[in-house]
Amino acid sequence: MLARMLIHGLIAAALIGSAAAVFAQTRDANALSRQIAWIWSDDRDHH
Amino acid sequence: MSIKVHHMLLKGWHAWVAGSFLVAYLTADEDTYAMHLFAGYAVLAAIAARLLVGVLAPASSPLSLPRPSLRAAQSWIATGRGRHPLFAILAVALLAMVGGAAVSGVFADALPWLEDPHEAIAEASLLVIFGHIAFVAYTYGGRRLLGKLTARFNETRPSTQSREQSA
Repeated sequence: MLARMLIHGLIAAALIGSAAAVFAQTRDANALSRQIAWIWSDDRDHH
Repeated sequence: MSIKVHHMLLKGWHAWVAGSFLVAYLTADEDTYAMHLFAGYAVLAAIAARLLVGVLAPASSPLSLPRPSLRAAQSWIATGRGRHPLFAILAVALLAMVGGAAVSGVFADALPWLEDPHEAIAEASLLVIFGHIAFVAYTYGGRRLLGKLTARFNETRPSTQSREQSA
């Protein structure tokens, strides 16, 4: 029973880890696009 | 809901909290901070859900919150019957430590001085988790294994003694 519970824990870790990775990727992508937008607006102000 | 469903939910909750704690522990680094944040909130949600369900569940349900009591411990020591008092003590210690690690992590975002206590609580809760696993493994499997090993040892001992006598 304990071995099965450990396997369930590892499966849950894989699922939560994947969801966390997707969350991190989305957050990074949003931050990157915000940064690009900010650089663009900065460039426009200068020109 | 039947007791079987309660047990299934409890096992599912164990997987949820163990999985998210493992991810949060392994991603506690600057580079993987967003993953750590996500997993930490998953741990906090698991603890909050467990406390809520534990308060709402009837006392006879396996989902009710464990309550360590001195009287139950004394009765177990005297008779050796019933549930081992360490089950309730370790469960409460785990909920407090893992919950403390999650809550301190939330506040450490705004209060940087909480980062070190957050790390210390997380490390300490890992020890309690290992203690919990070792205790459950010993109670449900290890004791039987120890019994088998002792029996085998006792089986081999008389033959050694008889050999010594014949020599």
